[in-house]
Amino acid sequence: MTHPSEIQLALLAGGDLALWERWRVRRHVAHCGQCEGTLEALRMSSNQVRELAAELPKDLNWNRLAEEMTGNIRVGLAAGQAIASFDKPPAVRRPRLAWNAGTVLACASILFAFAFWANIPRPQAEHLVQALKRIAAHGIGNFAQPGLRQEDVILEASTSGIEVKENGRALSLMHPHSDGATVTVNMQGSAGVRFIDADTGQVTTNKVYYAEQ
Amino acid sequence: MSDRGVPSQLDPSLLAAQEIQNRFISENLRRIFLLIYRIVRNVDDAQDLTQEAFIKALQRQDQLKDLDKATHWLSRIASNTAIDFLRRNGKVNFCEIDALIEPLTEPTDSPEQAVLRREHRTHLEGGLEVLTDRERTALLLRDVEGLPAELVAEQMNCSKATVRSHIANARIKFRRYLERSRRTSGRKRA
Repeated sequence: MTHPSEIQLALLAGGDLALWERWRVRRHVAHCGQCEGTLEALRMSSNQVRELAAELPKDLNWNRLAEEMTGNIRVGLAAGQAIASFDKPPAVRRPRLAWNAGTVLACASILFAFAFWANIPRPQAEHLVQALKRIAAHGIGNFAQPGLRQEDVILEASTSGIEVKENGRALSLMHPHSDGATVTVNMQGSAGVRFIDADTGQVTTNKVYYAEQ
Repeated sequence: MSDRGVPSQLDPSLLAAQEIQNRFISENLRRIFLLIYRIVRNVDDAQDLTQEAFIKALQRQDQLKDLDKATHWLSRIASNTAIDFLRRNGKVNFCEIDALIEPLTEPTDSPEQAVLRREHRTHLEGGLEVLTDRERTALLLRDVEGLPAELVAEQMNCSKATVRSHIANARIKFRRYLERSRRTSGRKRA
Protein backbone atom coordinates (compact mmCIF):
# COMPACT_ATOMS: atom_id res chain seq x y z
CA MET A 1 0.00 0.00 0.00
CA THR A 2 1.45 3.37 -1.00
CA HIS A 3 0.94 6.00 1.64
CA PRO A 4 0.34 9.62 0.63
CA SER A 5 3.29 11.91 1.27
CA GLU A 6 3.44 14.01 4.42
CA ILE A 7 3.09 17.11 2.24
CA GLN A 8 -0.17 15.77 0.84
CA LEU A 9 -1.44 15.08 4.35
CA ALA A 10 -0.36 18.55 5.49
CA LEU A 11 -2.26 20.12 2.63
CA LEU A 12 -5.31 17.93 3.28
CA ALA A 13 -5.28 19.04 6.94
CA GLY A 14 -5.93 22.63 5.87
CA GLY A 15 -8.20 21.83 2.90
CA ASP A 16 -5.55 22.86 0.38
CA LEU A 17 -5.57 19.80 -1.87
CA ALA A 18 -7.16 19.81 -5.29
CA LEU A 19 -10.50 18.02 -5.60
CA TRP A 20 -9.32 14.76 -7.17
CA GLU A 21 -6.21 14.49 -5.00
CA ARG A 22 -8.24 15.27 -1.91
CA TRP A 23 -10.68 12.47 -2.68
CA ARG A 24 -7.84 10.01 -3.31
CA VAL A 25 -5.92 10.88 -0.09
CA ARG A 26 -9.11 10.88 2.00
CA ARG A 27 -9.99 7.44 0.68
CA HIS A 28 -6.56 6.17 1.75
CA VAL A 29 -6.71 7.85 5.16
CA ALA A 30 -10.10 6.28 5.83
CA HIS A 31 -8.42 2.84 5.71
CA CYS A 32 -4.98 3.66 7.12
CA GLY A 33 -4.60 4.24 10.84
CA GLN A 34 -1.04 5.52 10.51
CA CYS A 35 -1.95 8.26 8.02
CA GLU A 36 -5.08 9.08 9.98
CA GLY A 37 -2.91 9.67 13.05
CA THR A 38 -0.54 11.90 11.11
CA LEU A 39 -3.45 13.86 9.68
CA GLU A 40 -4.98 14.29 13.12
CA ALA A 41 -1.64 15.52 14.51
CA LEU A 42 -1.33 18.03 11.65
CA ARG A 43 -4.84 19.29 12.28
CA MET A 44 -4.09 19.69 15.97
CA SER A 45 -0.92 21.60 15.25
CA SER A 46 -2.87 23.96 12.94
CA ASN A 47 -5.33 24.56 15.77
CA GLN A 48 -2.47 25.29 18.10
CA VAL A 49 -1.06 27.84 15.66
CA ARG A 50 -4.46 29.54 15.67
CA GLU A 51 -4.56 29.43 19.44
CA LEU A 52 -1.07 30.86 19.68
CA ALA A 53 -1.80 33.59 17.16
CA ALA A 54 -4.66 34.85 19.31
CA GLU A 55 -2.38 35.20 22.34
CA LEU A 56 -0.60 38.43 23.07
CA PRO A 57 3.18 38.31 23.54
CA LYS A 58 4.10 37.43 27.09
CA ASP A 59 4.57 40.26 29.61
CA LEU A 60 2.96 42.77 27.31
CA ASN A 61 0.67 45.39 28.78
CA TRP A 62 -1.85 45.46 25.98
CA ASN A 63 -3.99 48.29 27.32
CA ARG A 64 -1.06 50.67 27.43
CA LEU A 65 0.18 49.57 24.04
CA ALA A 66 -3.29 49.90 22.50
CA GLU A 67 -3.70 53.39 23.90
CA GLU A 68 -0.30 54.40 22.62
CA MET A 69 -0.96 52.98 19.15
CA THR A 70 -4.42 54.59 18.95
CA GLY A 71 -2.91 57.94 19.89
CA ASN A 72 -0.11 57.55 17.35
CA ILE A 73 -2.58 56.56 14.63
CA ARG A 74 -4.64 59.72 15.30
CA VAL A 75 -1.52 61.89 15.27
CA GLY A 76 -0.39 60.23 12.03
CA LEU A 77 -3.76 60.84 10.40
CA ALA A 78 -3.83 64.47 11.52
CA ALA A 79 -0.30 64.99 10.23
CA GLY A 80 -1.25 63.39 6.93
CA GLN A 81 -4.23 65.71 6.59
CA ALA A 82 -2.12 68.75 7.45
CA ILE A 83 0.51 67.79 4.88
CA ALA A 84 -2.16 67.07 2.28
CA SER A 85 -3.79 70.48 2.77
CA PHE A 86 -0.37 72.16 2.73
CA ASP A 87 0.63 70.42 -0.50
CA LYS A 88 -2.71 71.00 -2.15
CA PRO A 89 -2.41 73.71 -4.84
CA PRO A 90 -4.58 76.76 -4.12
CA ALA A 91 -7.98 76.55 -5.73
CA VAL A 92 -7.79 78.21 -9.14
CA ARG A 93 -10.51 80.81 -9.56
CA ARG A 94 -12.09 80.47 -12.92
CA PRO A 95 -11.83 83.68 -14.92
CA ARG A 96 -15.29 85.12 -14.62
CA LEU A 97 -14.36 88.11 -16.81
CA ALA A 98 -14.91 86.14 -20.01
CA TRP A 99 -18.42 85.15 -18.93
CA ASN A 100 -19.25 88.71 -17.88
CA ALA A 101 -17.93 90.17 -21.12
CA GLY A 102 -19.90 87.61 -23.11
CA THR A 103 -23.10 88.43 -21.26
CA VAL A 104 -22.65 92.17 -21.78
CA LEU A 105 -21.93 91.63 -25.48
CA ALA A 106 -25.00 89.45 -25.95
CA CYS A 107 -27.24 92.01 -24.19
CA ALA A 108 -25.78 94.86 -26.29
CA SER A 109 -26.39 92.87 -29.49
CA ILE A 110 -30.01 92.20 -28.55
CA LEU A 111 -30.52 95.89 -27.68
CA PHE A 112 -28.96 97.01 -30.96
CA ALA A 113 -31.06 94.57 -33.00
CA PHE A 114 -34.22 95.74 -31.26
CA ALA A 115 -33.39 99.44 -31.79
CA PHE A 116 -32.55 98.82 -35.46
CA TRP A 117 -35.80 96.93 -36.02
CA ALA A 118 -37.86 99.62 -34.27
CA ASN A 119 -36.30 102.45 -36.29
CA ILE A 120 -36.57 101.17 -39.87
CA PRO A 121 -39.82 101.98 -41.79
CA ARG A 122 -42.42 99.19 -41.90
CA PRO A 123 -42.23 98.45 -45.70
CA GLN A 124 -38.48 98.17 -45.48
CA ALA A 125 -38.79 95.93 -42.47
CA GLU A 126 -41.13 93.65 -44.40
CA HIS A 127 -38.77 93.74 -47.36
CA LEU A 128 -35.90 92.84 -45.08
CA VAL A 129 -37.87 89.92 -43.63
CA GLN A 130 -38.65 88.69 -47.16
CA ALA A 131 -35.01 89.05 -48.16
CA LEU A 132 -33.87 87.15 -45.10
CA LYS A 133 -36.41 84.41 -45.80
CA ARG A 134 -35.14 84.16 -49.38
CA ILE A 135 -31.57 83.96 -48.11
CA ALA A 136 -32.59 81.26 -45.66
CA ALA A 137 -34.35 79.30 -48.42
CA HIS A 138 -31.90 79.71 -51.30
CA GLY A 139 -28.69 80.99 -49.77
CA ILE A 140 -26.70 84.09 -50.65
CA GLY A 141 -25.76 84.49 -54.34
CA ASN A 142 -28.58 82.42 -55.80
CA PHE A 143 -30.78 84.74 -57.71
CA ALA A 144 -33.68 82.41 -58.31
CA GLN A 145 -36.87 84.16 -57.39
CA PRO A 146 -39.69 81.76 -58.10
CA GLY A 147 -42.20 83.88 -56.23
CA LEU A 148 -41.83 86.96 -58.51
CA ARG A 149 -44.94 88.18 -60.22
CA GLN A 150 -45.21 89.99 -63.56
CA GLU A 151 -45.95 93.39 -61.96
CA ASP A 152 -43.05 93.21 -59.49
CA VAL A 153 -40.17 95.65 -60.00
CA ILE A 154 -36.65 94.31 -60.14
CA LEU A 155 -33.66 96.55 -59.80
CA GLU A 156 -30.45 94.81 -60.76
CA ALA A 157 -26.89 96.09 -60.71
CA SER A 158 -23.79 94.40 -62.02
CA THR A 159 -20.33 95.43 -63.22
CA SER A 160 -21.70 95.74 -66.78
CA GLY A 161 -24.73 97.91 -66.01
CA ILE A 162 -27.88 98.70 -64.04
CA GLU A 163 -31.28 97.40 -65.11
CA VAL A 164 -34.85 98.09 -63.95
CA LYS A 165 -37.51 95.52 -64.92
CA GLU A 166 -41.21 96.16 -64.59
CA ASN A 167 -44.26 94.68 -66.31
CA GLY A 168 -42.09 92.68 -68.70
CA ARG A 169 -40.15 95.74 -69.81
CA ALA A 170 -36.59 96.63 -68.94
CA LEU A 171 -34.53 99.84 -68.79
CA SER A 172 -30.76 99.31 -68.83
CA LEU A 173 -27.97 101.74 -68.16
CA MET A 174 -24.84 100.15 -69.61
CA HIS A 175 -21.29 101.21 -68.99
CA PRO A 176 -17.93 100.03 -70.31
CA HIS A 177 -16.68 96.94 -68.56
CA SER A 178 -14.17 97.72 -65.86
CA ASP A 179 -12.40 95.42 -63.48
CA GLY A 180 -12.45 98.05 -60.77
CA ALA A 181 -16.23 98.66 -60.82
CA THR A 182 -17.95 98.91 -57.43
CA VAL A 183 -21.62 97.96 -57.26
CA THR A 184 -23.83 99.29 -54.45
CA VAL A 185 -27.45 98.36 -53.76
CA ASN A 186 -29.59 100.35 -51.33
CA MET A 187 -32.54 98.92 -49.45
CA GLN A 188 -34.49 102.11 -50.16
CA GLY A 189 -34.67 101.24 -53.88
CA SER A 190 -31.49 102.47 -55.52
CA ALA A 191 -28.54 100.79 -57.22
CA GLY A 192 -25.25 102.35 -58.28
CA VAL A 193 -22.04 101.46 -60.04
CA ARG A 194 -18.79 103.36 -59.64
CA PHE A 195 -15.99 102.69 -62.07
CA ILE A 196 -12.70 104.18 -63.31
CA ASP A 197 -11.83 104.47 -67.00
CA ALA A 198 -8.60 102.58 -67.56
CA ASP A 199 -7.38 105.00 -70.31
CA THR A 200 -8.33 108.41 -68.95
CA GLY A 201 -8.54 107.69 -65.22
CA GLN A 202 -11.96 109.35 -65.16
CA VAL A 203 -14.23 108.25 -62.28
CA THR A 204 -17.90 107.69 -63.26
CA THR A 205 -20.75 107.00 -60.83
CA ASN A 206 -24.13 105.84 -62.16
CA LYS A 207 -26.99 105.68 -59.71
CA VAL A 208 -30.55 104.60 -60.49
CA TYR A 209 -33.36 105.28 -58.03
CA TYR A 210 -36.70 103.56 -58.15
CA ALA A 211 -39.61 105.48 -56.70
CA GLU A 212 -43.03 103.93 -56.30
CA GLN A 213 -45.83 106.13 -57.59
CA MET B 1 -13.60 71.72 6.87
CA SER B 2 -16.59 73.48 8.32
CA ASP B 3 -19.11 75.88 6.85
CA ARG B 4 -19.90 79.37 8.08
CA GLY B 5 -17.55 79.35 11.04
CA VAL B 6 -18.96 76.22 12.71
CA PRO B 7 -16.03 74.62 14.48
CA SER B 8 -14.96 71.43 12.77
CA GLN B 9 -15.35 69.50 16.06
CA LEU B 10 -19.09 70.13 15.92
CA ASP B 11 -19.60 69.21 12.29
CA PRO B 12 -22.01 66.23 12.48
CA SER B 13 -20.61 64.48 9.40
CA LEU B 14 -17.09 64.79 10.76
CA LEU B 15 -18.19 63.52 14.14
CA ALA B 16 -19.82 60.51 12.48
CA ALA B 17 -16.68 59.81 10.45
CA GLN B 18 -14.59 60.10 13.59
CA GLU B 19 -16.90 57.69 15.37
CA ILE B 20 -16.55 55.14 12.54
CA GLN B 21 -12.79 55.58 12.62
CA ASN B 22 -12.59 55.01 16.36
CA ARG B 23 -14.76 51.91 16.16
CA PHE B 24 -12.72 50.59 13.26
CA ILE B 25 -9.50 51.05 15.22
CA SER B 26 -10.75 49.54 18.47
CA GLU B 27 -12.34 46.52 16.77
CA ASN B 28 -9.32 45.62 14.69
CA LEU B 29 -6.30 46.85 16.60
CA ARG B 30 -5.55 43.68 18.56
CA ARG B 31 -6.11 41.35 15.61
CA ILE B 32 -3.90 43.38 13.30
CA PHE B 33 -1.18 43.84 15.90
CA LEU B 34 -1.11 40.08 16.52
CA LEU B 35 -1.01 39.27 12.82
CA ILE B 36 1.91 41.61 12.28
CA TYR B 37 3.64 40.54 15.48
CA ARG B 38 3.49 36.86 14.47
CA ILE B 39 5.06 37.74 11.13
CA VAL B 40 7.82 40.07 12.33
CA ARG B 41 8.20 38.53 15.84
CA ASN B 42 9.08 41.79 17.55
CA VAL B 43 6.82 44.06 19.62
CA ASP B 44 8.52 47.32 18.64
CA ASP B 45 8.35 46.61 14.93
CA ALA B 46 4.83 45.22 15.22
CA GLN B 47 3.72 48.42 16.94
CA ASP B 48 5.22 50.65 14.25
CA LEU B 49 3.85 48.52 11.43
CA THR B 50 0.38 48.29 12.99
CA GLN B 51 0.22 52.07 13.22
CA GLU B 52 1.45 52.36 9.65
CA ALA B 53 -1.16 49.89 8.42
CA PHE B 54 -4.01 51.73 10.16
CA ILE B 55 -2.86 55.12 8.91
CA LYS B 56 -2.64 53.77 5.36
CA ALA B 57 -6.13 52.28 5.65
CA LEU B 58 -7.78 55.26 7.31
CA GLN B 59 -6.35 57.75 4.85
CA ARG B 60 -8.79 56.20 2.36
CA GLN B 61 -12.04 57.07 4.11
CA ASP B 62 -14.14 55.90 1.16
CA GLN B 63 -13.03 52.32 1.85
CA LEU B 64 -14.66 52.43 5.28
CA LYS B 65 -18.22 52.54 3.96
CA ASP B 66 -18.48 48.77 4.02
CA LEU B 67 -16.87 47.79 7.32
CA ASP B 68 -16.81 44.09 6.48
CA LYS B 69 -14.83 44.69 3.30
CA ALA B 70 -12.71 47.25 5.10
CA THR B 71 -11.68 44.62 7.65
CA HIS B 72 -10.37 42.31 4.91
CA TRP B 73 -8.77 45.23 3.20
CA LEU B 74 -7.03 46.20 6.45
CA SER B 75 -5.72 42.64 6.93
CA ARG B 76 -4.31 42.79 3.47
CA ILE B 77 -2.60 46.12 4.09
CA ALA B 78 -1.25 44.79 7.41
CA SER B 79 0.21 41.60 5.97
CA ASN B 80 1.67 43.50 3.01
CA THR B 81 3.22 46.04 5.35
CA ALA B 82 4.75 43.25 7.45
CA ILE B 83 5.98 41.33 4.39
CA ASP B 84 7.51 44.50 2.94
CA PHE B 85 9.22 45.09 6.25
CA LEU B 86 10.71 41.59 6.22
CA ARG B 87 11.86 42.11 2.63
CA ARG B 88 13.48 45.44 3.47
CA ASN B 89 15.22 44.20 6.59
CA GLY B 90 16.11 40.70 5.60
CA LYS B 91 16.12 39.55 9.20
CA VAL B 92 14.04 40.81 12.08
CA ASN B 93 15.64 42.45 15.07
CA PHE B 94 14.81 40.72 18.32
CA CYS B 95 15.42 43.47 20.83
CA GLU B 96 12.85 43.56 23.61
CA ILE B 97 10.70 46.49 24.52
CA ASP B 98 11.29 47.60 28.12
CA ALA B 99 8.94 50.50 28.57
CA LEU B 100 5.78 48.54 27.94
CA ILE B 101 6.65 45.45 29.88
CA GLU B 102 4.76 45.00 33.10
CA PRO B 103 4.40 41.93 35.27
CA LEU B 104 1.60 39.84 33.78
CA THR B 105 -1.23 39.46 36.22
CA GLU B 106 -4.18 37.39 35.18
CA PRO B 107 -6.62 37.35 38.08
CA THR B 108 -8.55 34.38 36.68
CA ASP B 109 -5.47 32.14 36.77
CA SER B 110 -3.93 30.72 39.91
CA PRO B 111 -0.13 31.19 40.13
CA GLU B 112 0.33 27.57 39.03
CA GLN B 113 -2.05 27.97 36.10
CA ALA B 114 -0.33 31.18 35.09
CA VAL B 115 3.05 29.44 35.05
CA LEU B 116 1.69 26.50 33.06
CA ARG B 117 -0.02 28.82 30.63
CA ARG B 118 3.13 30.82 30.13
CA GLU B 119 5.16 27.67 29.60
CA HIS B 120 2.67 26.36 27.08
CA ARG B 121 2.76 29.62 25.16
CA THR B 122 6.53 29.78 25.18
CA HIS B 123 6.55 26.21 23.96
CA LEU B 124 4.18 27.01 21.07
CA GLU B 125 6.09 30.15 20.17
CA GLY B 126 9.18 27.99 19.85
CA GLY B 127 7.31 26.12 17.11
CA LEU B 128 6.92 29.27 15.08
CA GLU B 129 10.59 30.07 15.58
CA VAL B 130 11.64 26.98 13.66
CA LEU B 131 9.84 28.20 10.54
CA THR B 132 11.39 30.47 7.95
CA ASP B 133 9.88 33.95 7.52
CA ARG B 134 8.08 32.90 4.36
CA GLU B 135 6.76 29.66 5.86
CA ARG B 136 5.52 31.46 8.95
CA THR B 137 3.88 34.24 6.94
CA ALA B 138 2.16 31.77 4.61
CA LEU B 139 0.95 29.66 7.54
CA LEU B 140 -0.41 32.66 9.45
CA LEU B 141 -2.20 34.11 6.44
CA ARG B 142 -3.69 30.73 5.53
CA ASP B 143 -4.49 29.16 8.91
CA VAL B 144 -5.03 32.19 11.12
CA GLU B 145 -6.36 34.82 8.73
CA GLY B 146 -8.14 32.16 6.67
CA LEU B 147 -7.08 33.57 3.31
CA PRO B 148 -7.26 31.13 0.36
CA ALA B 149 -3.90 30.01 -1.04
CA GLU B 150 -4.43 32.18 -4.17
CA LEU B 151 -4.68 35.34 -2.07
CA VAL B 152 -1.74 34.33 0.09
CA ALA B 153 0.28 33.85 -3.10
CA GLU B 154 -0.82 37.26 -4.35
CA GLN B 155 0.14 38.94 -1.10
CA MET B 156 3.47 37.17 -0.88
CA ASN B 157 4.14 37.88 -4.53
CA CYS B 158 4.85 34.27 -5.47
CA SER B 159 3.10 31.38 -7.21
CA LYS B 160 0.29 29.34 -5.68
CA ALA B 161 2.44 26.19 -5.88
CA THR B 162 5.20 27.90 -3.89
CA VAL B 163 2.72 29.04 -1.28
CA ARG B 164 1.24 25.54 -0.97
CA SER B 165 4.74 24.21 -0.49
CA HIS B 166 5.46 26.83 2.23
CA ILE B 167 2.17 26.04 3.98
CA ALA B 168 2.74 22.27 3.89
CA ASN B 169 6.34 22.59 5.09
CA ALA B 170 5.26 24.93 7.88
CA ARG B 171 2.55 22.53 9.10
CA ILE B 172 4.95 19.57 9.01
CA LYS B 173 7.75 21.46 10.80
CA PHE B 174 5.37 22.73 13.47
CA ARG B 175 3.92 19.27 14.04
CA ARG B 176 7.41 17.70 14.27
CA TYR B 177 8.46 20.40 16.71
CA LEU B 178 5.45 19.65 18.93
CA GLU B 179 6.14 15.90 18.80
CA ARG B 180 9.81 16.39 19.58
CA SER B 181 9.10 18.63 22.55
CA ARG B 182 6.41 16.24 23.81
CA ARG B 183 8.93 13.38 23.72
CA THR B 184 11.55 15.51 25.48
CA SER B 185 9.18 16.58 28.24
CA GLY B 186 8.01 12.95 28.64
CA ARG B 187 11.62 11.85 29.10
CA LYS B 188 12.22 14.63 31.66
CA ARG B 189 9.18 13.54 33.67
CA ALA B 190 10.30 9.91 33.55
